[in-house]
Amino acid sequence: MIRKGDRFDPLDVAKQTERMVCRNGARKYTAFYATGVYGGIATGYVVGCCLRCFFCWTDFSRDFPEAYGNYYTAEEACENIVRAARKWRVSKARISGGEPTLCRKHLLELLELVEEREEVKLFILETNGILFGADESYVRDIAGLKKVYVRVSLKAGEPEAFEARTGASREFFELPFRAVKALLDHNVKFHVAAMTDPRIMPAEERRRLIGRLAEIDEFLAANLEEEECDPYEGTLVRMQIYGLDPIEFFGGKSLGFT
Amino acid sequence: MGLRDAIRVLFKLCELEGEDVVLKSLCSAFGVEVPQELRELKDLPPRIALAIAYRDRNLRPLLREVASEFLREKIADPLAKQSRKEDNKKGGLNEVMCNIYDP
Repeated sequence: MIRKGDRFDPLDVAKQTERMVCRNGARKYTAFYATGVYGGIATGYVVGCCLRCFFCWTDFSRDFPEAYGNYYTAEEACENIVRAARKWRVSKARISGGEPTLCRKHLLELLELVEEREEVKLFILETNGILFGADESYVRDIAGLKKVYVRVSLKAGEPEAFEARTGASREFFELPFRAVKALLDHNVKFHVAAMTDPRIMPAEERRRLIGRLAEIDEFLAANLEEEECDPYEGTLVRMQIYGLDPIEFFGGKSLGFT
Repeated sequence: MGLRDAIRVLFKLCELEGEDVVLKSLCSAFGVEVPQELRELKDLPPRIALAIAYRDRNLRPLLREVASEFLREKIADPLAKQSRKEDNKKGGLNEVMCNIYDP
């Protein structure tokens, strides 16, 4: 149980979470369906993350992984994702919701299976980069897979902000940047995203983050996807717990108040 | 429009909508032709198409050069995303985006 104000080790939280959401190569998922993002994509929603960002849009399975979802083997997850792709006539797929790089064995098996399925042309792996940054061999494992495309989402441009927004100790701030470097070095297809919403990230921090990326590679910085915070139910509750007033943050009108 | 200019335009369009629509729809909505060199990637979201193109050894030098120029603009605009969002709300792009989602 992570309490408000705790500063945790995200690698330790990853291990603890894996004990709840991974079992004999299977992983917990809450749902499989297609959504309109990326121009239409089949999605498997996984349970569990190693960060606790206050702006996170995911449902409460992130916070109570033991209470949500069902276990699916890699074969079952692959079938469900392909079924969703067929049903909605899309050729892209992803796993989202939680952190897909938890349960390494399951993910690698799933990605291998997807490689063989004609229905899926591109598989997008949306990650916070913590586990890729901690272990380069993980990046090497996915580097040879033709359909895999990675989207690394950065949460902050400086250590103090990383700690404040994610709950993870500032000493782990570097890990997502190491992941970016490793993905580049291993020639993986990827781009970088960051929560640069000006309501969350000050302009100077945004500049530092972009500068930091540019030091690794200017193209990555230019192609940075700048995320905005949206008023999902989970986000509103987390913001309140964090001490922010969602009505003030988003404006009453956007929350349906007139 | 030459490839250099097209890539420059694509970087800018990505700031408006880089992930949720595919390259051919975005280009069509803005009256921009998908460059020949990126045609194979036309069914991907533009930001992803650019990222994949960057792995092509022939395209990489040009992409890096244009990225470097574009980056200066991106850094100089501290509230880029927010101001663009406000602009979009005022009209124009909203309508275009509706057309992209529901042609």
